[in-house]
Amino acid sequence: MSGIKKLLETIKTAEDFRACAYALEAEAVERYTELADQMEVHNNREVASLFRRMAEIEALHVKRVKGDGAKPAKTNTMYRWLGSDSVEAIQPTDLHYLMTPHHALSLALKGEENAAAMFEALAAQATDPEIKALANEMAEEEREHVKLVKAWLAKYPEPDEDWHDDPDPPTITE
Amino acid sequence: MDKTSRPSISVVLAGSGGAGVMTAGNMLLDAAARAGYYGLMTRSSGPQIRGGEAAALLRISAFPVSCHDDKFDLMVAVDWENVQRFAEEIPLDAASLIVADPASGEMPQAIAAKGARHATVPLKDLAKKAGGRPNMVALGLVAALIGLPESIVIEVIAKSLKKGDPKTLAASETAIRSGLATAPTLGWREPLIPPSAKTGTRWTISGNHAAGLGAIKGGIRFVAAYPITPASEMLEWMAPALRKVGGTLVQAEDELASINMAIGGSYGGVPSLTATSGPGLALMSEAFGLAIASETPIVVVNVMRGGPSTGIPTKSEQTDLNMAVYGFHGDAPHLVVAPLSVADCQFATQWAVRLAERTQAPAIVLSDQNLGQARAIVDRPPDVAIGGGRVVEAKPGVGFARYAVTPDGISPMSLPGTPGGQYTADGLEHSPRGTPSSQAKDHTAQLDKRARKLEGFDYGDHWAEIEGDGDVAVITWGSTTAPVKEAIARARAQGLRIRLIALRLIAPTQPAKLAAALAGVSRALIVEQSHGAQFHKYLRAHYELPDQVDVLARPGPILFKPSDIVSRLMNGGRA
Amino acid sequence: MNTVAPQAAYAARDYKSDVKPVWCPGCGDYSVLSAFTKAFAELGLPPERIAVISGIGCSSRIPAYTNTYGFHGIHGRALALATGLKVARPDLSVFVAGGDGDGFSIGGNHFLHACRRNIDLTYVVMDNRVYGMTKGQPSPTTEPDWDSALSPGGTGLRPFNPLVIALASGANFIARGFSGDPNACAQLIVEAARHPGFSFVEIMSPCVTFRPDQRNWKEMVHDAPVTATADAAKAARRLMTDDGFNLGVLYKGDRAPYQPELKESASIADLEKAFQT
Repeated sequence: MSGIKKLLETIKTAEDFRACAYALEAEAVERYTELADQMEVHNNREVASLFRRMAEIEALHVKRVKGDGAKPAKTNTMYRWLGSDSVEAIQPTDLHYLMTPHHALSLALKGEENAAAMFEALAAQATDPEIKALANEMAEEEREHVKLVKAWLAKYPEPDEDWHDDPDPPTITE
Repeated sequence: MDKTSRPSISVVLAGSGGAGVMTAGNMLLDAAARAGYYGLMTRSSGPQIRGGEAAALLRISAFPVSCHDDKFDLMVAVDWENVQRFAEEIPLDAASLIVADPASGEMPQAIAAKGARHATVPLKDLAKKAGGRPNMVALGLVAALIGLPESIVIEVIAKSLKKGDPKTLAASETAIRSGLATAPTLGWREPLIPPSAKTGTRWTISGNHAAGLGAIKGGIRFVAAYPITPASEMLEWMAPALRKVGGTLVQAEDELASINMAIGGSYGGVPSLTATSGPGLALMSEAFGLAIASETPIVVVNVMRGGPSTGIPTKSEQTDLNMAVYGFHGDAPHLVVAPLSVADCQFATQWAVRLAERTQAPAIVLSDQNLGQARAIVDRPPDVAIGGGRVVEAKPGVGFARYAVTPDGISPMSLPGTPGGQYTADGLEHSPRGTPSSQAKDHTAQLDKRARKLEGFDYGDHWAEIEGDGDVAVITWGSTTAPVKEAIARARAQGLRIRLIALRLIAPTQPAKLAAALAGVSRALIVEQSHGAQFHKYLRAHYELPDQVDVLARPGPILFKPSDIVSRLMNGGRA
Repeated sequence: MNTVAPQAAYAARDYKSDVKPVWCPGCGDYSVLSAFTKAFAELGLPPERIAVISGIGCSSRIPAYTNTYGFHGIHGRALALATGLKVARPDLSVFVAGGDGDGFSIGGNHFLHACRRNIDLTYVVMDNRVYGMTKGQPSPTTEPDWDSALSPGGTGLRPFNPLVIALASGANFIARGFSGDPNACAQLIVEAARHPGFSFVEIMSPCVTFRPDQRNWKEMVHDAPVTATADAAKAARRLMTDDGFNLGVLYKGDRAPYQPELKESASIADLEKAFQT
């Protein structure tokens, strides 16, 4: 992941690392909240509450990172780090208004797995011991998340092939 | 033979291809103004951009006049090329005098048929000898025939040519003098009575320019527009004028852009305007609705011309009334104001700006080519204190609602840049906070509010000009008001008692006020320049009219003469 | 571009209103909204100093979702609205948003003249090569063989190349982004806003409902293998041979923006004097 190299270049101190971790987690909270809103607007209650739960989980993580003293990003250039393979954030194009919890959790799982892999790679490539330790800590937390989501996913088998069938045609609204 | 002096005289200067009759006509008007007279000048021309046949039609008077007389007393033709085109606009009779250059050939039959007296003056020859132009000879000739002092005519030409070659000025002066000298040989002189003592300032101004001035006085500082006949002169005057007062004019790519730009400027808090004619207003109808729905004030000046479609661009008509009032989809209440004279173009436009700004609604100013392109000598209109101005929320608190339902229907408007007042203006129906809504309660609330803010507004006495008493009333609007007024004055002189009701506020309607104005009136004559009698039908739809109603409705391009209306009044309503 | 020195930072969420978007889940416009709010935060502009102007269409709903001033105008006329606002209120930062139908079909004429006028605006078009809001008709950027109800078998018409048109008409900044990378789009919007004059950013934003075939866009986009040029002729050659998926800033011109000076030099009484006899 070339993103990792770019990230590492900007993380010089433990403080930088915490700020980065904070930004990543905060973005994840916002993203899950937006996804929950989208699903709610489209009357997919089940997946909406699922995404809200994910947002709550990520918010706890944010609290923990902040509790360590991580401040919100000093400048908004923080966003540039995140790149298109921004780890925990699900791609909007992966969504469907009729998606089932199986789909939602599969996507969340992918996100958490990416996050874990990213922190593992950060830890591996970091030379500063403090940063290495922090990265490992984050990686471990992400692996916990992966376990959690996997267990959750197990409750929802893959749906039938016609899960996205909608007998009604699209509506013109304006 | 010398006739008794007269209060008013009407003169036509005609010619073509570089003859310069418009220039001479304007100078004649300026000379009349300087001499202390009132007057007006209208123009007629062929379709060519240059070199076409042209006629300058003037009326000069010791007392204020706002329209042409029943006929012209004097016609001077520099040449006869295609002048028959104007025959129907130039009424002449046996007492009129036509002066022509013998070198121009035969008078067109259409003109000769009017039975006026003829005389010849070798204008081109005299001009050549003077080293000047025939139109200057004609100018001098006319001035002498109607009794304008030579010194004043010379002053006018000196002022107008002072920036040019001194030789041209000298030649022009010589040409004028030779014209003046020729006058006594014609044995015809119709001198004007001396002008009344001048009190106060007078202006020589066109309706289009007066509208521009009124707009700026009302607060307009942003104009976006696309040129169209006969509105372009208003824009041409406004472009440098706006710049001087800290505003600006943007020439847009079309009328669709013009009105949207004006809405954008107004949304930003700057009073904004556009000007156009019938075809342009038609293009603007969708955006006009946006201004209504989003409650963004703008003023659209529509200088009406002959319609429908491309119609007769250089002539006047009062046939955009229907479109101005009804031409928008949805229930779309808005303001329509119409000036009653050249001078009133200033007040009507200024008032429309203040009303629009106050009520956060778009206003159409229905002027027309007759007013817009006529130049008149008028008393400077008095300054009228007009209230108004936008209701702005400078410190929006929590829960600020841009479209809050208020008792008078007017919601405080937050301007971009004001913290806490953010909202998205929308053509979509919306809740009081501005969020799009298709809910019945929101639609009803907003429709009520947008209607209420206009219907409940106090328009004061400006809604119409009402004067005189009697059981007969003439109801009219716009440019027909001038010949109506003159007709009424003549009828009164013959003992009739007539009330004039000239509407300035066309929309929203004022049923109670018109009912009061019609108290005691048993017969009404409605006068308008419309083949389909749009104004009559509008009155029928929205107002109570007396039992006896007579309608005098004619299309353009020929304007009403006062005598047309007098005969209708005198014959008890029979044509 | 009106920049306020980034003081205490605004966060992207400060620019989001409480109105929840109704776009189909999967729509690229969600990412564009995110890009806008991130860009505003990066630019450090107070929300009340920003105006987002739009026309009609799915993309044009964006002003309601931002906590800035805005105008949701009529179909195709957003650029005219924005022009009037910016000329009358040069102190505001004005952004224009819309789709390919709103911008290049009914709005085509205004697009040409906005580029030509070079007023200091940033225009973001969410191009999904379809009329989404009205249920899937071809737009001026739709491929000629795309089958639809109104044009069975495809229109057979060559699609517009809006970037070439923008360049030819006088736009001062031309860029393309892809909604799949909202952070990169945010950067483009920031750069566009900071560049004086008329800045045009086309963001390829797939329509999940009517163009499911656009799922493959994420494989087709690629960073442009060039840096932005200020040479219009060079940019023209580049854009005429563009495959429609080159991402990045492609042209950065140096024309001075149009902004009339609004300065008083006379009074109304002075104007009246010209009419006095």
